[in-house]
Amino acid sequence: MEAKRYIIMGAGEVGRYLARTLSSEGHRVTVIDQDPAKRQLVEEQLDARFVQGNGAHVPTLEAAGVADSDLFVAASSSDEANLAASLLAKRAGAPRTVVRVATSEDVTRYGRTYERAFGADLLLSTQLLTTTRVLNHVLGYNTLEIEYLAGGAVQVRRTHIEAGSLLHERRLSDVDLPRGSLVLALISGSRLIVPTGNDHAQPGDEALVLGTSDVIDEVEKKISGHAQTLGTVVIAGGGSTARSVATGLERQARTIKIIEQRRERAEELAAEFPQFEILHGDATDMSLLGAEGIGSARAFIALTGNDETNLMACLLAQELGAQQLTALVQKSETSSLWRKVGLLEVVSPRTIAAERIRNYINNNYEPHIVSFANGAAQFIHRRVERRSPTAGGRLGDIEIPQGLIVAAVLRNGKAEVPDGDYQLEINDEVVLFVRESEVSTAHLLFPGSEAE
Amino acid sequence: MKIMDILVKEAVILDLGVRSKRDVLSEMANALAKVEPQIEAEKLIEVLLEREALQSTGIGEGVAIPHGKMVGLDRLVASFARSPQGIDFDSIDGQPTQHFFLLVVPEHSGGQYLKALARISRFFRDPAFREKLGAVETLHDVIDAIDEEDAKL
Repeated sequence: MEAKRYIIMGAGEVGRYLARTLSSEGHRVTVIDQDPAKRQLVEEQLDARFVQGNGAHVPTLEAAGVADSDLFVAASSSDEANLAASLLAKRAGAPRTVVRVATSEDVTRYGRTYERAFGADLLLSTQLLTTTRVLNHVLGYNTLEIEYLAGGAVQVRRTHIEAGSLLHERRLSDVDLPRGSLVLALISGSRLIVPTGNDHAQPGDEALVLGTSDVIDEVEKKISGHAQTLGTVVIAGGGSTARSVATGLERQARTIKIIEQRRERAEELAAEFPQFEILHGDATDMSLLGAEGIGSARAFIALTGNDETNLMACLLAQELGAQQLTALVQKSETSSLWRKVGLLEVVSPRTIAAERIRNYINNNYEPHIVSFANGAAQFIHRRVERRSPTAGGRLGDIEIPQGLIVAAVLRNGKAEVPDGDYQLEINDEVVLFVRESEVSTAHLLFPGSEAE
Repeated sequence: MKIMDILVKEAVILDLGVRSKRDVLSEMANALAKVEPQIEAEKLIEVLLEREALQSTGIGEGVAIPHGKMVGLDRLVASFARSPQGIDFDSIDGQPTQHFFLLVVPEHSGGQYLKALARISRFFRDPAFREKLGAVETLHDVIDAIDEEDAKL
C-alpha cells in the first residue's frame, strides 16, 4: 500500500488515536497542536511529525505541508478553529478536509451549510456518532451510518441485515413499513440494487432506508426484528450525550430515568424534559440506586464525563440486577481492558470518530452513504423552480423505476415521502435518489442549483 | 410514446451553420415555426432561453435537450439539429454540444411532457447511437437512425 500524507490538527483524544492508527499502518502523519508539551508524546508515542502552532493560521498549515497532503483532519477541541482551519487548508492546497464539531445539531441540521461554507468534505460530531452507537446497542439496531437530509427532516440509514430481519424473511412488498419511509436500495457486496416488491435481502447485505425523522426509528425497529418496547432505562449523567441518547430512546422506552449529580443541572433537566424522571444524586451511590429500583432496569447506560464513575456505576447496577450495561469510556487503555472483561458494552467516542474517518479514507474519500456501493447512486437536492418542467407534474410521470426516485419532498418546512400521485409545486424542495445512469435526466427534469 | 410520433421531420437541421447558444435555439425555433403554424418563433425562443437561464439543458456527452411550453399548441412536437463541429452550450460536462433535440409541449400537457423528456434523455444514452447520428450524411439517414433507435427502446 502506498504511504499517504495525513495532517491532523489537535493532539486530543481523537487526534492522537487517529494519528497512532494511521502511522502504524505506515502512513506519514503530521500532528499540529498549540501546546509545545505535546511534542514528545506525538514524536515518540505516535510516531508522527509534530508542528507546534495554531492550525487556523496559514504559516502553521504551510509548515505542516498541507499543499502536499492527502487529507487534512481538523480535530481540535474548538469548533471555530476547526472550521477556519478547514477553509484555510483548502485554500492552501489540501485536496480534502475532515472537520470535527462538537454537537449533533451542527451535523444533522446545518451540516451542508457548514460543509459548503468551510470547504469541509466530511463533517462529523463525536457526540452524534456516540449517540448512534449507544442507541444501536441498547435497541438492538444495526445502523452502520446515518445521513441527514433536508436539514435533518429526513434520514437515510445504512443498516446491516441479520438473519431474522424482516427484510430477510419477507419480500419487500410484504413488509409493512410506516408511511413516510422507503427502502431505497439493498447493497450486496459491491452491488447496489434498487429493489422491486419481489426482492428480499440476504443476511450480510445492507439496506439503505429512508424516512422522515419521526418515523425512521419505527422503521429501524421493524427491520431489526427487535420489535419490543423497553421497560425502564436508566442513564447516569445528564450531559449533552446523555440528553441526545435519552431523546433517541424516548419513543422506545416506557420510563427513562436520568441520574445527575449536580443539583443545578438536575433542575434544568427536569424543567426541559418533564417526560423523564430526573434523579439528583451520585450514580455510584448504592443506596440511591437501590431506592430507585435500578435493579429492575432493562438497560443501564453510564454517560458521565468520568470513566471510573461510569464503570463503577455499571458494576453496581449489575449487582442490583440491571440487565444490559453500557459505559462511555474516554481513555482507550481503560476501554480495551473493560472490553476484555466483557461484562458491559464499552463505548469509546474517540475510537468511534477515528473509525469513521478511517472508513472515509478507505472508501476513497467518499463522504456519503450511497457511494459505499462504488458511487452507483447519489442524492441530489433541488428546488422546483417556476420554469422547471416538473412544476405541477405528477411524480408517477417523472420517476424512472430503479433509476430516479423522488425520495422526499420538503414543502413549507414539512418533510414527506411522497407516492406516485403526489403533485409537485413551485418551491418544493426535493431529495432525489439517482442512479449514476440517470444523473443527466435528473438534471434535465430538476434544473437549478443544489438546494440548501 | 415514440419519438417518431412527435418528431417534425421537415424541421430537422443537418448542419447548424451557427456558433452561439442563442443562434442554435433561434435556428431550430424558426425551422419549427415554418412548418408548425401554432408555433410563434420569437415566443418560443424566449421560453427556451428562460429555461436555459435556470440551468443549461446541455446534459453532457455532446447532447442538449432544450424544451418548453407553448400556449396555443395542441400536441407535443420535437425537432432535431446537428452541429458537426460542436457548439458551446454551457453543458454540465463543459464539453461542446453536437446533438440538439428540441421539445415543445402545450401549456397543459400533464405527464406527457415529463415522460417525453425522460425518454429523450435516455434516447441519447447509447454512445454507438450518438456516433451513428453524427456520422450519417443525409437527412433521410438521420431520420432512419432515429427511427431505428426509437424501435429499440
